[in-house]
Amino acid sequence: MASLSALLHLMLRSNATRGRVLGLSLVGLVGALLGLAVGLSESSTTADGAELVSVYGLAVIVPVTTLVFATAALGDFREDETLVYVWLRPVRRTIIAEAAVLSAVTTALPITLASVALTAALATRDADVVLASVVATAVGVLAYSGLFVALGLQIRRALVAGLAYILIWEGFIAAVGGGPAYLSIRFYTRTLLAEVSGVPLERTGDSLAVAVVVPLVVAALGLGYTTWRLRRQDIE
Amino acid sequence: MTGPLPPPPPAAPPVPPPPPATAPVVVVDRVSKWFRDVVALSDVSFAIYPGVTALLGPNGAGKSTMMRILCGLTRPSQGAVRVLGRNPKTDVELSRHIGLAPQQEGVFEALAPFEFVRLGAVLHGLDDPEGAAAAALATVELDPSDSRRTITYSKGMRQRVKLAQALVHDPEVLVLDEPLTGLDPKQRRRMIALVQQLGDAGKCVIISSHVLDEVERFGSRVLVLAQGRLAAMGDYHAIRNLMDDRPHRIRISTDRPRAMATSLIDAETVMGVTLQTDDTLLIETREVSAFRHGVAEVARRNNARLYEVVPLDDDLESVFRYLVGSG
Repeated sequence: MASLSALLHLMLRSNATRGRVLGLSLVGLVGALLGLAVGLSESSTTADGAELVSVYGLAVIVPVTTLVFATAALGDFREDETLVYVWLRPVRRTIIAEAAVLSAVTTALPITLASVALTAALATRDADVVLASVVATAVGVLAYSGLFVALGLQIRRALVAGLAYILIWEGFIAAVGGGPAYLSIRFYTRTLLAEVSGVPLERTGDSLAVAVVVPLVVAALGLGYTTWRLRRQDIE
Repeated sequence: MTGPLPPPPPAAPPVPPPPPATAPVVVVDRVSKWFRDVVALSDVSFAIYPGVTALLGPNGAGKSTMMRILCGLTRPSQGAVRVLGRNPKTDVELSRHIGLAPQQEGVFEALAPFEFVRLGAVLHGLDDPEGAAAAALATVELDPSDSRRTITYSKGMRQRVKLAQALVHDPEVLVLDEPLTGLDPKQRRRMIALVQQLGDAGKCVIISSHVLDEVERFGSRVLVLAQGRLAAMGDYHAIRNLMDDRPHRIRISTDRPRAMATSLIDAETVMGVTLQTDDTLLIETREVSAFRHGVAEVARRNNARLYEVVPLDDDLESVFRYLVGSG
């Protein structure tokens, strides 16, 4: 427990830089402003507000914010060759991986929750949509954290690769629906938003349980893969 | 008129180390390591005992790769490594007994040195991480109460922070990759004294260096790596003699090259003479010092003026090339 706490503290100190927090808070603020615009529009409905939460909050704020912090959690140490100071210690590799995912969640969750919930509140003024936004955001952050921590350890330009996944795969290919949608975290967070809020949205699944379980499985697989990589990978 | 240059000598035989008094701490058995098409280490075997041992070799010789293998940071492509009888790549618990100060400058820049070193102590599960961190920093003469972040530290100070984090858990094996880099002369003296002290205390200290004279000051056993191969091993003096015994090339410029060549070819210290240009001779000798003393007398006898006497093989690279027999 002391090791996990020490590693988490280190990662938070190293990765939650002022620039990152401010920059990503601005991305969230744009969502809130969009939400305000939709909320003030007389012709907009609750479904329109929920759609905004989905296409900007869950499709941009949540993955991009989590990507930045998660790829940095171990990726920054790998890049500046300081990972050795963590690796060459009698600490189980699972602990290092857990600390990385926890640090990503700890930094990304407050920003994304505040931004997406505010967007939902301003756009819909509907408590169910706000609650659904919070649940979908939390699950999404967890899944993306597991995925992107592993990516940060695996490849050097993880930020670019992650953005490509978010924009190209989730934004275009999987957004059309069909089989590829099931390989997209966004599909499950969108489903959660619809299922928990009760607001019908297109291109969603029909099972709340699946929408919760699959992202959690992704997070667990990411954690497991990161642990495996830490055991196998050469350390600079 | 000219003596033919002899063919390059065969690879120098390794100097056998003295009989070990204790069991080896590190055993490297026929280790090779390659990265795609690049061979970093080729069939290297040796054993390391308590005390100070230096890995000596030019840049790119494979020293850092070997040190990374010893610490388990990378696997050998072939062969086996045992540290304290265990596999460093797979045995996480072995890291309790290893301290590494890597070559790269990077440290956790968001942390103050005390926080950095204490982190190591916490990850090692020490009972008093604060006390251990303070003691380790004091050992390298840094102030534990200095709250400045390491990003503000000079290269030399960072080097000492790296050493402190390697020492914090009092490991039996210390691996220090180019530990004197960036230190000023005073700091170098203190670092050398500290390393000697650790070796005298029975620690197994492995340092890497590409500077021969640096290794001499550690008073250590020496493993010479060149082009990924173990070129020689033994104590410093044996390696030094081996290096001094190799043929040296010396270029001489004079106004009477042919007369000088005729006289020099008869000298016992000279192995070969080549007339390079109208006023330049290339001399090959195994006894540089004797040659340097004698050449002035030869010039006087021949009434010749010497414009320059330039040793061509004094750089360490040529020494290492000779040791691996590449000519």
